[in-house]
Amino acid sequence: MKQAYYIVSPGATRAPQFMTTIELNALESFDASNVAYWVLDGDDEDLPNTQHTIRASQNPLIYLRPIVSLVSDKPRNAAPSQSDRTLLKDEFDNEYAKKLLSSFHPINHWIENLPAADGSTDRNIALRVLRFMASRSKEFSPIMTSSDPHGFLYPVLEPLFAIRDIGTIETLQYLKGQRLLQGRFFKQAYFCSSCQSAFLNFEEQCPHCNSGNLKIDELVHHFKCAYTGELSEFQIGNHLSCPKCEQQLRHIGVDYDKPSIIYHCNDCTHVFQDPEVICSCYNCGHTTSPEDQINRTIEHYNVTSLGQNAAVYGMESLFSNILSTDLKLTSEAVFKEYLKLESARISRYKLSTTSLVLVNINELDEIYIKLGDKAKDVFHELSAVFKSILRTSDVITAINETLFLILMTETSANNAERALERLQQGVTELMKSNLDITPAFDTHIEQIAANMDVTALLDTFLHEKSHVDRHST
Amino acid sequence: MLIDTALDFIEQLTFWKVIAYFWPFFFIYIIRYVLADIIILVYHMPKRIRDKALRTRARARLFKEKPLVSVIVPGKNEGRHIPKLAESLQHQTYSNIELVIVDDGSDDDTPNICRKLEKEGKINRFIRNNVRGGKASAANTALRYSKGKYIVHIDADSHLAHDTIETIILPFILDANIGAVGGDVRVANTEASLATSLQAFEYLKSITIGRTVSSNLGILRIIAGAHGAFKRDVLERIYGWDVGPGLDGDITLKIRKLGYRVIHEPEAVCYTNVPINFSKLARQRFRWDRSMVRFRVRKHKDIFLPSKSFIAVNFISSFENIFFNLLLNLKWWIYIIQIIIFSAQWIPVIFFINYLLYTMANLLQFVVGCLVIKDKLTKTELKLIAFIPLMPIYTGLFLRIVRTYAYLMEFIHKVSYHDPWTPWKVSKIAKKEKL
Repeated sequence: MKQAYYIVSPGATRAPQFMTTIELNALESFDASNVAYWVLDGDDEDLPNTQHTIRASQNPLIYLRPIVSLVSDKPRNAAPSQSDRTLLKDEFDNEYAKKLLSSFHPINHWIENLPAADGSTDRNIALRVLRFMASRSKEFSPIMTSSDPHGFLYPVLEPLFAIRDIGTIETLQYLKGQRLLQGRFFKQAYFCSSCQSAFLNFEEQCPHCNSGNLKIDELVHHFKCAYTGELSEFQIGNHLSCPKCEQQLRHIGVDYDKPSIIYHCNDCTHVFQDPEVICSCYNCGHTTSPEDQINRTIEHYNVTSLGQNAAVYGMESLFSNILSTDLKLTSEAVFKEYLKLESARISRYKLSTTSLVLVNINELDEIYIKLGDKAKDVFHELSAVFKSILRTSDVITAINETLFLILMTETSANNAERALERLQQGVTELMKSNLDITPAFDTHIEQIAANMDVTALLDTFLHEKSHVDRHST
Repeated sequence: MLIDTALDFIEQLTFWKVIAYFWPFFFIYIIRYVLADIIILVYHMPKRIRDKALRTRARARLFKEKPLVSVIVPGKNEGRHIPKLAESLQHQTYSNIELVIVDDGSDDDTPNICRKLEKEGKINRFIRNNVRGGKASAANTALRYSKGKYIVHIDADSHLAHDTIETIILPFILDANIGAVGGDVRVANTEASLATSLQAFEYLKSITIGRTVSSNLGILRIIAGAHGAFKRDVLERIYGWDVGPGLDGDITLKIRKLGYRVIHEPEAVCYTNVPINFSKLARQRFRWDRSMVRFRVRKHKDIFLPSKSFIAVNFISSFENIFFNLLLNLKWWIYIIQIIIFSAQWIPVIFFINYLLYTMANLLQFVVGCLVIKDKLTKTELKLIAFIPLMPIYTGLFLRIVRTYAYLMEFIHKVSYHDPWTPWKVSKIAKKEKL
């Protein structure tokens, strides 16, 4: 029978009488298999650290468990809770504790269904985040905050990260890149290119002397007499009066308009309309133009079905992971370096041709979803197919779980075509005989030329692919 | 055939008959143009020679004081002309110049071109108005954001000779009572087509000679918008330009009314591009001519009425303008009707003789014009002599028909209030307020 445990930390008050307690520092050695959820003292100033200690455990039975924090008063400034649930101490009694057991049941059930955890897998922060999100099966939404230099927080996820860990946002983006998460637009934001802080000041400056001490005025055009001047010249009391013909200005658009805005520099008297905009960071003081800062899209995240499986069976069993050990898969960045070298070499000597092959195997991620842990075996066989076709001089990278780029050196488009055919044949045979799936392929072969832009190529490839997908559905 | 008839015709001529058949030429053309040439030969040119020492001293003073001169260029969709203009200003003999460009709601690449030049320091100030307000408001904006003691207003599609700024400012130094100086406008694209060559000749007659004469007589009535210099304090007293079209003539009159002298300086040269074919030219003249009616006859009619601000030269200046343009335009039609009714059998001969007379007069004017320009005469301008035989047809027929049409339309329909060059919101108010 599962039950709730009250965690006693140095700053925590006494546990409610009906609860079983456990010391925080005894947690790691504790058999947590019958824990339903952790209860913490929400008034403890050290609460964030306590929560982090739990979430930082490598044991899924400990760090994945729900956390309930008890507070005496509802927090006034509504700081978002990093616990799964926050309750008033007064309302938390034995009855309530039992009710929570059932409401946390789905999470605990999910945790129990994990294959016997050997502990080692959960060292990876990305997997831990993925498991945590998969076990909660809900959307994780960011909030804007001034309490963190990054400007955005995913409150419940934060305790998973050490205080100075690599950013939550980066980890989530990585998981999304692996197609384990899917995002839904929340906001666009600028971040400091030097320290990633979201706290940036945008200041208009005089293009002559770079002073920010500016006076901004609107230009007014009086139709009747064609006089133009600044708004302040027209202001007499609460109405506008033309300095040239002394007539009162009545309706904008009818007898006058405001054709533009004029800036005056109070330091060097320069008059201009096109101020420089400069952006400086509150955190590190780095100053640069806005277009040089990092622009990111912040999203709400959901776990995809691929992610659900990866969360249960571990990311090591993903095809790209298997490929990278079996077949020395290079990273995308390294691949691009190779490509640059190759294109420089080809255009320099003009003696031979090298082909770049893009191949997307559409049903590959379904294998994972269908087979779960056993997908690993199929993937090992698949990577053997890749290995038999590629030569040691070929370079391969995986953009995501289904899309691969292969650089076939000293290979004409025709030969690349043939290799690709063999690859398709091998993969189809394997998937057909083992899983009764006939995979569909999207392929493209590009001759390497000088200054080729692989990013643009990928964009068009993915665009065309999605176009085909849409038509076929 | 024609020669025989002509001889028959000439044989029966008496003095009174000559007058009766050719009165427009002898009474009007000779008086106006040939007399003008004489004024140039006997007054203007000797005066120039007499003033030479005076001018040299004034020039030395100008270069010692070096007042800031603001070149202001209001315009719409003129961006492509600006780099060349900015370039030509950098090569001026006078160097204390600032260039202020006002973009009146362009919908082309103008803002980008000008912002770039502003960043490079080739334009001192670039003001972009997103909403078009018309030429007057753009010029006023430029005035508002320029700092020079003298304001030189030029069109974007023109460029200046290397000593133009110095030459156009010089008269202000010579005579403190001068409020505005008109610069000479010549045709830049003379050799582009027949139309531009004929216009080049016309500009020589009407601007170089015509305005020099008006200036000497003290009755100059227009400072060309394409090229004019003003004293800043004078412009500020009258709060700049009023709603156009025809704002050039309008502001010149306002300056005269303040009691300032307004003169023309034929040696300050600005080259401008003129319409390249006759249909575009006709449209341009239609716009110019009808504004005459609006400003001389409607807006500034007080100049003809005896009042406190009545100044005789101003009266003559405006009267001369209305008389020669408006009434003499009528006279031409009276003359044609007269010939058709009374001398129908002689029409080809009368036409032929008139043509000869006008051609000879044009030749005389050309020679005088060349004398006025003197050392600034170019080869291209000298070649214009070949176009003299065509001038009577150009001025006598083409321009006259356009002008008559413009006057009729303006008197009957007040079309200038619907001028597409002025935004409708401004025109609406101008018409309501009877400006």
